[in-house]
Amino acid sequence: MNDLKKLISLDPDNAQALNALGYTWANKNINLKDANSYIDKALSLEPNDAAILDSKGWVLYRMGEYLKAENYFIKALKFSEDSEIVSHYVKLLLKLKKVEKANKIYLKYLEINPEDKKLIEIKKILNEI
Amino acid sequence: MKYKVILLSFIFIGLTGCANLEVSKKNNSAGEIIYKKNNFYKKYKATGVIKFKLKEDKISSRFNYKKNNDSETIDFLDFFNNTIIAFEVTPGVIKIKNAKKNINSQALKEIINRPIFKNIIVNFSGILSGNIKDKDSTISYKNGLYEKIKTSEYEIDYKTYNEMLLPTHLEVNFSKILFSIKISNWELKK
Repeated sequence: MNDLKKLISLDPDNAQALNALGYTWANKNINLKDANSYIDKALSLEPNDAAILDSKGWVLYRMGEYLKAENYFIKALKFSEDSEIVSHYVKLLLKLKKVEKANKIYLKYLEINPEDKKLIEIKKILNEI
Repeated sequence: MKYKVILLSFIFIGLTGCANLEVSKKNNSAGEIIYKKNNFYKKYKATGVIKFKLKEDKISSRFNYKKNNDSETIDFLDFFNNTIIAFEVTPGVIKIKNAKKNINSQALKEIINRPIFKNIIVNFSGILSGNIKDKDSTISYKNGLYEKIKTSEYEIDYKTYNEMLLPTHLEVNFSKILFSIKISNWELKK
């Protein structure tokens, strides 16, 4: 994390570094306000970047802003079909009690990516319901 | 998601790996192996997902590909089945059949606008099936199916095949644009 901070101090418009630090905090559930600001700045620099859109959705999820988070995951998935985005989106849908939709998204991803290791985690979450 | 910081290193490793590719054909142990060959069909449908790795961007699109003799269509769709762009290909001609008014992905725009993208579209059927005329070299699996094909423009690494001997996962290095194709469904027609 210190390396990322150093990189940002040298290059404050480095969207990837801003996103990486913001996402790391969001993932650790710490510094959520700062994480949100960093990710917002990254998003203003790269508004159609799937990874940053996913981070924005994830930090909003961590902040309990579930309804706002959904649009970011949907947009991220339009650009990149990635297991991490799918995993985050399924977790959000379950928080929103949209179990059927969560299953649908999971199965849609599964049809093309049956060997994805992240799927095990998603399946576990869905099985726990 | 923070994967992109390390993505460049992976691309570098990938490119270095490809540069050291051995291009001689593997020996097959006679007597033990049933020799197979890649099947080339004139009419078929294939659906799957294509994932591009370009600079720091990782973008993907689902596709529906249809071949009917010399006529081909390729529809690129997002995860929610909305068409991003669709092409019609007849020998020597690529026509845009359908496109979102604003393709709001800079990375995808960059890919589509590159001349190399035309080559991918024109060669799509060959890439999927291994039916490529001007091969520089090939490596085959022990059962005879293509493992790698190298041409002057691109390299294809056939990772997996299904029980019908049709490829289901391939990695392509097309003039330093790396992409992977996963095919979830093949539909062969007479």
